[in-house]
Amino acid sequence: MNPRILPLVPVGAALLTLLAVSAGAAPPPPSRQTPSGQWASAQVVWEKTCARCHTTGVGPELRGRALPPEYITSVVRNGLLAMPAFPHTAIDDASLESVARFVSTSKLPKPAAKR
Amino acid sequence: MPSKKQAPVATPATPADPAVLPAGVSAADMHAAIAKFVAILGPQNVVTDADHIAPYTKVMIAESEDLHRPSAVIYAREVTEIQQILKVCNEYKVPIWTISTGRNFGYGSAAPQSAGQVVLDLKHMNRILEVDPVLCTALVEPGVTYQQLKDYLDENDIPLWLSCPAPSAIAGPLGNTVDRGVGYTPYGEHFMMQCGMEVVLADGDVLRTGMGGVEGTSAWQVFKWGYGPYLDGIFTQSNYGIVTKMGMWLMPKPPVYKPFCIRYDKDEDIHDIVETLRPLRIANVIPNAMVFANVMWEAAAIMPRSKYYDGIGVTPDSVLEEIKAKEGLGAWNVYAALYGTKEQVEVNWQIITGAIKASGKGTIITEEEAAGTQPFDYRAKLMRGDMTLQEFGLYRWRGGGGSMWFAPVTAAKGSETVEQTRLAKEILGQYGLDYVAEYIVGMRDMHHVVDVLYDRSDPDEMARAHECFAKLLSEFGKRGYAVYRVNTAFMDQAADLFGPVKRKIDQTLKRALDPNGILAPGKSGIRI
Repeated sequence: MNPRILPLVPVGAALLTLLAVSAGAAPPPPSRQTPSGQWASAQVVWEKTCARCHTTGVGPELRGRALPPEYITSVVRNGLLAMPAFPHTAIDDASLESVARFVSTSKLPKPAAKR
Repeated sequence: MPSKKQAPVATPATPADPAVLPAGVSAADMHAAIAKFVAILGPQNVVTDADHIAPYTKVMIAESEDLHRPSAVIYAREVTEIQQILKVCNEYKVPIWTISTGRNFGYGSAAPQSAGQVVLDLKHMNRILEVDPVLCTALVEPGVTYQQLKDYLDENDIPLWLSCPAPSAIAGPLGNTVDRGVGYTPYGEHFMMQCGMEVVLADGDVLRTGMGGVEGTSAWQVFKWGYGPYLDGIFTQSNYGIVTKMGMWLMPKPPVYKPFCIRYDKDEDIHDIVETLRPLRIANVIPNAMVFANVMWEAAAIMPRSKYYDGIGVTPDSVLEEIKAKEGLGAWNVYAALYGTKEQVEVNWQIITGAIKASGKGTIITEEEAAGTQPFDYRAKLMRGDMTLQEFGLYRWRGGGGSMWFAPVTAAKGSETVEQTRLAKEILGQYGLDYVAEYIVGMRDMHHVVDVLYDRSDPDEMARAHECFAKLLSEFGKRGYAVYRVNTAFMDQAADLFGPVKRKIDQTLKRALDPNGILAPGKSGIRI
């Protein structure tokens, strides 16, 4: 017995007052399995994970400090105090080394000019 | 066509014997089990070395990580692999602790309840199998993260919203739901919005719950109950099976979304907050899982405690008063939202503002008035199921990386919140720890969520935090209060609060479904 993989064919437009999608629209394909831990680029890892704490004041600012990549990878793998650890299934070695270089060579953005 | 010579592919070495063993398993049996795991999964998916194990030992709970250190970690991608793994576990009585994304921070993170268990990491099982934009349902595997699902909805222009816990960007819906986690939208009681599971049982059978066993069904993700005994519940907060697929309901994006805050000045206002807002929640005028966050929870989202207080022990009330005045925070801060058409939102807004005015307390702050500032901004994100990690600011409040959620269930009555708040503050104060708390409002209950924050790098403070947590459980228990969920260090103590008959039934089910006790022994205090 296989799981029902494909979406149902839309059958009507009832109850759509709150839903903008058209009942006649083609349903999207299910997502393919992508190897977990592989990221499209260092920029994507940074934006979708690291930056959420490290550019918002939650975690320390990392940019512009020329932190050694080896230090960054060690903290990511092992965690440090409040910093969670990230296993290989969350980010593989190649992606981690890439984002570590990205952070290590990043510059601290200038603060936005006050209007 | 001439054949090209392939470069040799490096094969990872067979993993070394584990540094720790599960209780009751000999080194020889563990060695044999590891060899069979390798035969099933390949050597690259069976790890025992310190570097690969390390991320699974990073805990925030007040116990040594040695008590929760896995012997090995294995990665599976297919149900058939899990079936074969379980066969090996049964043969050698090797216990296995399954994680989906392993982000159960403050509840034990990714580490097993006891040392030596093999972590089965299902992060690679990350297919979004189905999103139905008409019925507003999804079917996902364990490794799917909220971020992944959000990206999928955005990329396919599907106007559906998620409901996420606070660490939304890196956690996942299956793991959160089967641990009965909550979010902040109208779909915030996640298990209530779950529909249909696929579960691999200890003997290798694959169960589809609800309508899932019916050949050719189109209703697996739309009708929860199926026929006969409803089973999904026994696969949450339990160790009776491995959930490999889960259906869930998603919320249509509303035409209008109106988040708001109500700020209250005094600690004792918690009584009137509950009495004023409970009727609006029960009547669904306020449809979402709103929160009542205290001043320290709010402050932690925007700054470390050291900005105002460099001392040790409990943050003095005088400091909290200074923080409230200078940072514009309330003693209690309500976050709620309205969802719907313009007309629906306007009607409900009038009802809410009328109720607040009639109560004579509370200052309403709209999204426009908050103007993108924190903590309003991240609260608004959470109440629409968006991605944020802002609430990790809690962990820098005192620093040191220690956190345990103490989360007793509260009946939504003002008198009960006054009693629970007083008791929690008193006990935490005895151990020099802060009362950092929020109430998350359910349909008629509230989760009184207290983050027991402590410096894990200080052995004395860690010991105090452990003792404090045990006392919180016992003193609340004496008064008829018990937690909705607890970390791996206190699962037995929490289970005792629910009585001997409940524990006996839990064990009876365990013995029937997993007679060798190989699935996550100790989860929720359940063993054979």
